[in-house]
Amino acid sequence: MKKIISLVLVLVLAFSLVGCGKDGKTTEGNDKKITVGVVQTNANESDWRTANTISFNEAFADAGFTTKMVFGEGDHAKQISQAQQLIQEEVDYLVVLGLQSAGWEDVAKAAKEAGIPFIMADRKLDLSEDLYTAMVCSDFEAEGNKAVEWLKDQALDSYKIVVLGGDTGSSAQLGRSKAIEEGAAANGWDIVFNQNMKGWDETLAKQAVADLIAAGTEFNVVYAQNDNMARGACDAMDAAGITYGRDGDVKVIAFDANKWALEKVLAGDFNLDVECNPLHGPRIVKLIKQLEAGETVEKNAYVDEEMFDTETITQAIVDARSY
Amino acid sequence: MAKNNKKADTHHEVSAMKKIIKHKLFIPIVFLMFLLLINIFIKPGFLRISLGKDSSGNPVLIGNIINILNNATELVILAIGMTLVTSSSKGQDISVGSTIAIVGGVIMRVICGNETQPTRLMAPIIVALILGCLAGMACGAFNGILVAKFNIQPMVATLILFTAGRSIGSMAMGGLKPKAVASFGYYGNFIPGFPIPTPIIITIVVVAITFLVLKKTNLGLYTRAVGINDKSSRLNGLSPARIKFLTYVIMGFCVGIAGFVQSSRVQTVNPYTIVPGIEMDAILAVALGGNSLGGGTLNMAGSIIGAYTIQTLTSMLTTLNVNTNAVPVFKAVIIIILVAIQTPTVKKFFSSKVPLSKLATNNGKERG
Repeated sequence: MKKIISLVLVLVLAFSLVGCGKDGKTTEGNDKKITVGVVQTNANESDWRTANTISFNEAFADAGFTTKMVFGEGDHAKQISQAQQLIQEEVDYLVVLGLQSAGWEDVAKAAKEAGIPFIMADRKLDLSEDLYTAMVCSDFEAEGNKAVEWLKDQALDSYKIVVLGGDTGSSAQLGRSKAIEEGAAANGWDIVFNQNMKGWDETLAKQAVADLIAAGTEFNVVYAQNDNMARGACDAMDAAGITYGRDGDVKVIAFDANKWALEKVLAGDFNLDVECNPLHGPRIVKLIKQLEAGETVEKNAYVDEEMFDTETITQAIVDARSY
Repeated sequence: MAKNNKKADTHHEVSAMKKIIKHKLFIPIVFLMFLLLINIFIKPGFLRISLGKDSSGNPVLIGNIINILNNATELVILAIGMTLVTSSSKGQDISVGSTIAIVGGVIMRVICGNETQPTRLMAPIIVALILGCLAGMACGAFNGILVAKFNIQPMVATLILFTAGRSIGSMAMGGLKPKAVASFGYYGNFIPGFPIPTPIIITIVVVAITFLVLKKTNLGLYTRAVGINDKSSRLNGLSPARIKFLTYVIMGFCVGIAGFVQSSRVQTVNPYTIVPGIEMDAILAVALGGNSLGGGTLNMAGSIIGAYTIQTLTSMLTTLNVNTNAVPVFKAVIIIILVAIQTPTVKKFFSSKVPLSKLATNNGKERG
């Protein structure tokens, strides 16, 4: 009996704790409104993700849509079951931001059978073209290529590049790594270090760069695949007295272009930050309106993304950034 | 456990040599030396330590050994707690990474308040440290109650916070991603003007306190006693529940210190990505240290050496620029070698030449 009570107690605790982590953003709407189901990755993964979520909520609210947003919280299988749940609830449109790119065929087929347009956002999923309606994704390889082009324009005497990759196998890591690896091979640059950091985090990037410095590895370019890892690399270089940025020996390239990172570009700490645009909401609203009007939409559209270096950045750009 | 089958020729060996080989720290130390030797062989400058200057002109020590000692801090502190928990409760606390996220969240909230780019400390750092440790100890107490009072298996009990901890950490921060002022970074980096990284000093203090406590109190003895046999230790007047609970609270305290150092390193915390997979590394450190994961042994020095071994391995994979896809495989191969050497089968094989098997029987033998 005692055991049963303790078991029940633990279950209650577990569910209440897990329950706390969820974001109760699902809202019930009336039948006349268009209901959009959004399968988001994590609620509070990063500033970028927060801006992304807000973009959906605001744009859909402005357009008069009802939003049903669910969060996978790092669990790919959970995302799939959430998507199937949304299909059963008969949402009018399904927007998916997949944690992983594989394994979405069944969901896409179910959506197609139910007549629900399937829209991919943020990351491209491995689906054949007939299974999805449209996509609003970032082209990570193109982002990387922009950085490679910029690097080429710098005309350094020699290129010794440290590549700090993101989570192994995520589409952002794959695309951005591919760009620099191919760019280096094509231009005869040396990649002196190329490893992926678990979790896109400052700490691991900082440790790696500190280890490289201690081992006497020479480098003059840091290609960090997000803002946070670039910041970690800068911390490590600070600690060893290596200069970087606009007036320094090491060029620092970052991705995502969060507001605080653009401030660093403005201050001359980062040389280049390539934007990864999180504001998908308005584009999806536009897509849905076109679909409602019966127009054909461009199937494989990538979002517009810019890049900012120490020459092109202005205070106005930083101020205009909302995330 | 295998009894030693001494052969005649071993009698001729110097007894001092035998003592060294039989010592319970022999294998962990040999592992570490082995890794360091590989490093020195591949990169001759591996042991070099130089005095450099950071970007503000303060003197700092630079070197791979310094980095290893510095970066291993969290792992060493966690391994200390994990050794106690393993010893007393016959299981491991897998929630340590998630509870570090909670501690980090609490510390950031205390220091930054509701601002994302605060220009001053919102509270004294000591307050943040104390609240962080209290948060860690509260998580430890929660795990401890489940394990000690409700007799839930440690891995199941700690699975709760393992699952929920990172979300709780995010909530503690109010969903913000603040970056604290630079002076908070002294504890995870350097105090200006002092060339040794602060985390190394913190490690030395924590390790010293640990050994002092183990020497001056009966904690180690009682922990082992409970781990070897619950019932007989109760018959001998100990309270197994209380001791298990205590070890989990100590684990929580260790998490508090580790979380403090970790959040100070870059003065910011991302609860979802902080210290990825550290719980497994901490358990591995305990195993590499020659402790039985089934409880009842307490080889604290071994665990600490194990933690440094893991950090050496991590650092080695970075400096050698191992292909990123091969890193996990590389790590796994080395770990499987390290673990396999410690299994009774392999020991038995070697004990035909060197009586290593004494090692295995030594640990749990002291009376509780």
